Amino acid sequence: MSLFGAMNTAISGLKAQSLSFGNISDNVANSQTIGFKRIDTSFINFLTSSSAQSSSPGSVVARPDYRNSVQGTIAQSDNPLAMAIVGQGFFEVSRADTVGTSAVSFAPQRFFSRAGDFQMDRNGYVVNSAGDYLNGWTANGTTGAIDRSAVVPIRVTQTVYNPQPTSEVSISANLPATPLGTGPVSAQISVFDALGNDHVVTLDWTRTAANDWTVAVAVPDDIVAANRGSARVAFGPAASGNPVPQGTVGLIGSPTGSVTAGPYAVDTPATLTFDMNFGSGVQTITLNLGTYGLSSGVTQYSGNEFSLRGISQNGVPPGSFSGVSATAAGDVQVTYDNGQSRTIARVPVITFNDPNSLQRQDGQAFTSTLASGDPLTQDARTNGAGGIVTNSVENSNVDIANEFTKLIVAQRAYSANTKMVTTADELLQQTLDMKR
Amino acid sequence: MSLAGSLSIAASGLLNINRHLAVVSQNVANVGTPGYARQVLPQSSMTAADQGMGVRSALAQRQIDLHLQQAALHQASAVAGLDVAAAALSAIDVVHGATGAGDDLASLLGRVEDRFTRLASDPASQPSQAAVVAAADALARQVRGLGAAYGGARQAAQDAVVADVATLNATLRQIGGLSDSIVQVRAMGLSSADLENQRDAARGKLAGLIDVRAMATPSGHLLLATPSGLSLPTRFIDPPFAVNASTLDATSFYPGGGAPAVTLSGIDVTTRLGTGRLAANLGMRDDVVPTFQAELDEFAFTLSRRFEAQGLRLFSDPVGTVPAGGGTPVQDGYVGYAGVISVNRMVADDPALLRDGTHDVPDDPAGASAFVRNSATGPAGFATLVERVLLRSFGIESRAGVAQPTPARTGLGPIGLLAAPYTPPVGLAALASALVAAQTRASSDAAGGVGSARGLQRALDDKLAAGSGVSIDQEMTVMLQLQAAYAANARVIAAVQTMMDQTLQLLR
Repeated sequence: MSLFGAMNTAISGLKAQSLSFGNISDNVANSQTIGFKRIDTSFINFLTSSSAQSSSPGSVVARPDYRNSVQGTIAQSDNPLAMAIVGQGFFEVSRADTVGTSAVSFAPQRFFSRAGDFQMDRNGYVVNSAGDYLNGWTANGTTGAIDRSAVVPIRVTQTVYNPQPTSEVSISANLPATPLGTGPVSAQISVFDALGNDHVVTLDWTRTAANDWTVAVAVPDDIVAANRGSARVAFGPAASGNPVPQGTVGLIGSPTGSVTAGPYAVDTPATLTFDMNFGSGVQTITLNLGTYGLSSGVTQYSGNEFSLRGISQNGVPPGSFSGVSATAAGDVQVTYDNGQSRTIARVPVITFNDPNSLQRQDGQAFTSTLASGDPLTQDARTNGAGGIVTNSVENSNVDIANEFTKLIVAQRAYSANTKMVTTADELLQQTLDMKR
Repeated sequence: MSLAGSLSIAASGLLNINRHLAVVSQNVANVGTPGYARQVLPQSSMTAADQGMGVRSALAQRQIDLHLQQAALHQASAVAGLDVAAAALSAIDVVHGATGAGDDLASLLGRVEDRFTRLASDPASQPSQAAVVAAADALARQVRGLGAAYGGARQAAQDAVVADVATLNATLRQIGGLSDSIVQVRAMGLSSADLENQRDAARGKLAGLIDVRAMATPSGHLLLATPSGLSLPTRFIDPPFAVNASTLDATSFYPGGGAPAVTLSGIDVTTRLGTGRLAANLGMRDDVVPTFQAELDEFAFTLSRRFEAQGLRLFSDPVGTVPAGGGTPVQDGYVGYAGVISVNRMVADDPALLRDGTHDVPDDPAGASAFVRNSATGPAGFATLVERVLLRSFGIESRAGVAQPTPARTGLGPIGLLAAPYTPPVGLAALASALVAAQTRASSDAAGGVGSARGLQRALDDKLAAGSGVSIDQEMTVMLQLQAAYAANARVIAAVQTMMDQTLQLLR
């Protein structure tokens, strides 16, 4: 009954082409959706009987072909949290069960997405336009070490940067080989205490003999005593007894008070430490005078006036939250208005053995399936995982021109199938007309 | 690579050109702004997964050589300081009189001697006596005029210090505020180039006042310190620098003698301010002008003593006393005497005393020989005194074989810390010449110093401008390139649009 068979075949063709049509319209509709992956259509034929003598018409079915691993175009964005993945992989995101006023409870299901237009929400979570919460490894608040044991929703909680008390001061200056007068030459350094307050430390340099100086540390704001002690600093080989070039630090010794002196060794930092207390506990500061034997920090060359070249210290005043941004390594950084920044989390890239077999979910998200394999959590750009591009988003991988071509083909194929049906109908009519 | 991809690349090109053009227009608009450093916009191509993704512009940056800038600011502060000194000294120079005009100290002294010589031929001549008094008055007036000029210069320096300290505090606060903004702007991921240019303009203002070395921290703050090791705070509640207003007189001195100290957070830093206007004004107030004053006091004192010792009190203070001298420090008792020296009222009222003498002089083997006044009934042609004046007061010996006391050179001033730069000659005329020469030379040296320092400053500024200044030619070239690139990018967009239209027309 091959005429009816041909009609059935043509109808299966119509059905297959309409399915293809549906996929095309989905693609075109989502051509501007960030992180959307297009669905192509492939056709499979079914056989009824086929031999050397006869062949009956079979039918065709359309099967969706998911293009989850095809790269979309990357577009720049002004959003500092926007991220795009180039290459393989997905962001891991979570969905909220309930959103409270200050906390969010998350569903246990793991979702994966390439929609990277993230922003910080009012609870401090990093959320994309589909409402999914970005997950990552948390970083230790003080050491910055990444804890890779768990991937959890990233949340910005530290809105204040705690002040860092000064623990190291480096000074670079030239002491005069022939000073005017016998009075001390002094340098002032400003340091921060544990509360972030500014204090002044005065270093008074007094020349006791040729190439031989005493540095006295005075801290006027110290709650115990302003005089914090002194040390002898000798320059050149004769005064220091160590084989250093003329004019460079060769010895730090004879510490008094809270001062301790670092021992001499070739090419090691010439340091001394002293204690102070501004009311929030003892604070020890290491004063770096450069390197033994090198003209890098404090020197004593010709001149009759103290000449300061540079001072630096590592203390930081308190800062408040200024913004959050992402880096190419996937680190989420919080910046503060005191110029400091802190890494709070790192975003891993999740790869699958067969990303095209992922189960699609709403909001351009996917979930893993048996066929896709288990999610593999990795750092960006390692083990085949894609890299992260910041200040950018990945647009849909739909190409409208391409979709239109497929549309034309589908249209023509559909018309051809309808022709088959009408022709078969005509033939059947003629067959019926044979008997009057 | 889809058409949409091409479109987003062309869009990134347009965006980059927009940003570039903004930088170019900012440069062109600021072509004459002092301290403005040209801004550039670094750009880099973006690729992702081997596909071109367009262009990305980084943050605008300043094109500046920080070491050269530091050197130029250092030199600017040196020039500002020398300018102050030269201006103050030239004002004093004017009072010293023009060369050859006969109105300087040495010529006026010479005229007194000349009038005495005329008087010697007829000691009783009243016109000759009057001429001596007139010449002596002119000399005293010149000394007083110089004293007043020194006082004016010193007071002006003090007033300038008070004004400069206020400006210094305000500028430091401004720099602190700009630094805070720079740190915040950078933390937000924006370009801080414009704010840095503003901060550099403030640094230029600061450099005129005080020589400061600036060290930028990675976060964007600026640590300011003088080469002498003073850290200048930029974030403060109470202004860090302070100085009291004060009215100075000839006996005021620093430290502790009425000339107020400049303090930084309560610490006296008056002598540690390096170069710049502030230090130069303090130098004028505490060192240069007081030294001039001490030299003039020494001259006035020597002048009065030389006449007094021979029996004629011709110069004295307004009440008729002549300082005795011999104190510790050497000028004790006659600091500021130059400001009040005048012709003794007794002599002015009765010029005949020029012939007769004002007092008797006992014989002093180490000083003047004995002199007894001409009595009222004495000879009209009494010439002993006039001869003593001409031979001894204007000479180098107070009596035959005994040298006049040498004017002091060191240990001058209210506390004996000042020293004249020349060895004072014994003779009065030579002393006056040495004083005038030294003080006018200081003025011409300062003017010359300004000239050479300004030459170096100009060279540094030119080099800085060549590196970081805005060149209109260059900006115009860049602008033409941008214009062409914009057109090309727009063309790509137009082509993509046409192609998309054609795609749509495929379907009927």
